[in-house]
Amino acid sequence: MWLVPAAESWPCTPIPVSIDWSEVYRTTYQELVRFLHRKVWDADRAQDLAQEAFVRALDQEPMNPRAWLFRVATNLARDEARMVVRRKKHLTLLRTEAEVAEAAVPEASRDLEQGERMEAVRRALDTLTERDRDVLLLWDAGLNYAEIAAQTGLAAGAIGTTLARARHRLVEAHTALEGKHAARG
Amino acid sequence: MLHVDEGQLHAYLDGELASFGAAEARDVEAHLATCPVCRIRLEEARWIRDRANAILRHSGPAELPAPPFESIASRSPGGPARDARRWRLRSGATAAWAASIILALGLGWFSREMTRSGEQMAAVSESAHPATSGETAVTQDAHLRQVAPLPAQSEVQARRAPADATRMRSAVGKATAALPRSRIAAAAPAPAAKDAVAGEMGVQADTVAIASGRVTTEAGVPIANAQVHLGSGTGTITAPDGTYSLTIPASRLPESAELTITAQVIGMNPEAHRLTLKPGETAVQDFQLEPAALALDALVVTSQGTRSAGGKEPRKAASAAAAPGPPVSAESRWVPVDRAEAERRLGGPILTVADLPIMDIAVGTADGEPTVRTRQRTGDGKTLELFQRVASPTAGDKRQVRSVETAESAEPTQDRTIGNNGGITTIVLESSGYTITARAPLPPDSLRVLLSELR
Repeated sequence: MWLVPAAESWPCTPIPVSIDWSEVYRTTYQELVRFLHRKVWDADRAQDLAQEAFVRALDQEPMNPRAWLFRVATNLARDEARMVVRRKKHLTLLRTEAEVAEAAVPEASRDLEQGERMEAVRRALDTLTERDRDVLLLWDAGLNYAEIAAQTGLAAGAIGTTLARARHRLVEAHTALEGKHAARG
Repeated sequence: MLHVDEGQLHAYLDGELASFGAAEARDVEAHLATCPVCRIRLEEARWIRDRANAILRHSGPAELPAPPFESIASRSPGGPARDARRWRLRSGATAAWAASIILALGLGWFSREMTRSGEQMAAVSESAHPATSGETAVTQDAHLRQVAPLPAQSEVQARRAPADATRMRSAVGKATAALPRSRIAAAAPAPAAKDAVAGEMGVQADTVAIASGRVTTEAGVPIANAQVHLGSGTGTITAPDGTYSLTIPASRLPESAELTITAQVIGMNPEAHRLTLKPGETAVQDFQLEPAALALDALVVTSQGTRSAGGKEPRKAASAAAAPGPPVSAESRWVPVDRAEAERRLGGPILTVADLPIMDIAVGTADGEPTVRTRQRTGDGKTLELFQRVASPTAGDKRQVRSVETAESAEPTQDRTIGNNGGITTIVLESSGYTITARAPLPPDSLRVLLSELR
């Protein structure tokens, strides 16, 4: 589950940059964790991945730290998701008891209500296309349209439309889920 | 232009209209200023956006404290363990290229760096002695970048996270185990550099930039409740004397330090200025807004149309232009919100009649203007509706009644919750910078008395 993503390709232009990384860390860390949490749905894992992204950023010193961090985080989360699927398929029997125990205690048990709320959001987000979801989560994490465009490869003029669609779907899906929940309970 | 599309509405709400280009941004703003249909759509889009934000907000993990920066820095061999803020060359993909640039700059700089972090570099590897030359070290560095994305399987397994939350984080030992082997060697930071990082963080911990100034009309009359914002969603609202102060966290400042700051208020043309602002700096930017070529005629027509459908007394054109009529509109869609949200949107407190229970608070559009509707129950089970919106900037602060009107029958109103005995009285008044339209099935005198309790 700790696959390292493919190397980021960055322009080779030599530009001297002065970046205060402690400041970037201070202002971006929580946003990054938040962003990752919506991707991996595990607070600890989100923290680990965020830290991993920073370790790499410090190593590579990209020019645009925030955009770079979110890009690497997106890749890390994607690899993580693939790895989880693969592990489920092949390694179920190899799991140690401890790991099984870990997996069996979902975050929800820590705070039931918070867990349910999160589950509803998670399922609502799952109804979005990957692209819509990415754009929505990147905006929510504090990136501006230009940064989101650079990150997703969409045209800057398309971000508003994508966000509009994503927000509509999220609200619709979430409302529907809440309705179901209310009907059940 | 045709109506504004969904994407443009959301970009407008997000303060990101510029993403469409300057010309289109102007068109959208001009259209929104004059098109009541799009204003209503804008309110709907705003509701969707706020709802989506709220859903996402409630799904965050409990905020855990960030591990100290040093623990992260110490995990990175090339990172600012050496020096948190410094000039450094970003090297590209090929080792040869990087090496040649470094050589061109001269070896002196690099060897000085190495001396400073000798302890760190000494560990680099068995294959390259760091003390030999800068070129060797750089080649090694670039080489590491290429091998980094290909961890050995054993490392993947070594990195599988154990269960408890206290694991790793600041433990350098575990952290180094988590890195591909070729990078481990350089992971221990020089202690002196660590101190430098800590010092840097202390100084910079609360860095913000501040933009302030005053928003007035061309004649110098202060404009209250004008929005002043950056493209990035950071914004504020002017005080009654037209002043504003916008504190911008360093994270919202672009690297180029160039910002566009915009002031806007309904009825005036938005004005944008470019500012150069770095963390820790302050800048003063005043605005003088010009009145928008707002289609006041269109407003009058709309309000007359609604009115002539019901009111027995024909309305005088002059008073229609001066005092907006009761915001009854077939397209009005009211979205219930809580008080805090309504006040945020209004940019100020909601005025209500003291001691009357509040039934609901909703936001919507009336006569094309963003409006808050508060419904209160009067003593005898009737409903008092208060429509509040920001008054035009020329309106004084003094409370004054602009018009009183009584319709004989409640028939034309869209809202059936209003009682039907004795007709509906509508009073439009100005108070504390707001235009308030009060409507209730009460005699004018009674409504007047009620409104004297408005606060």
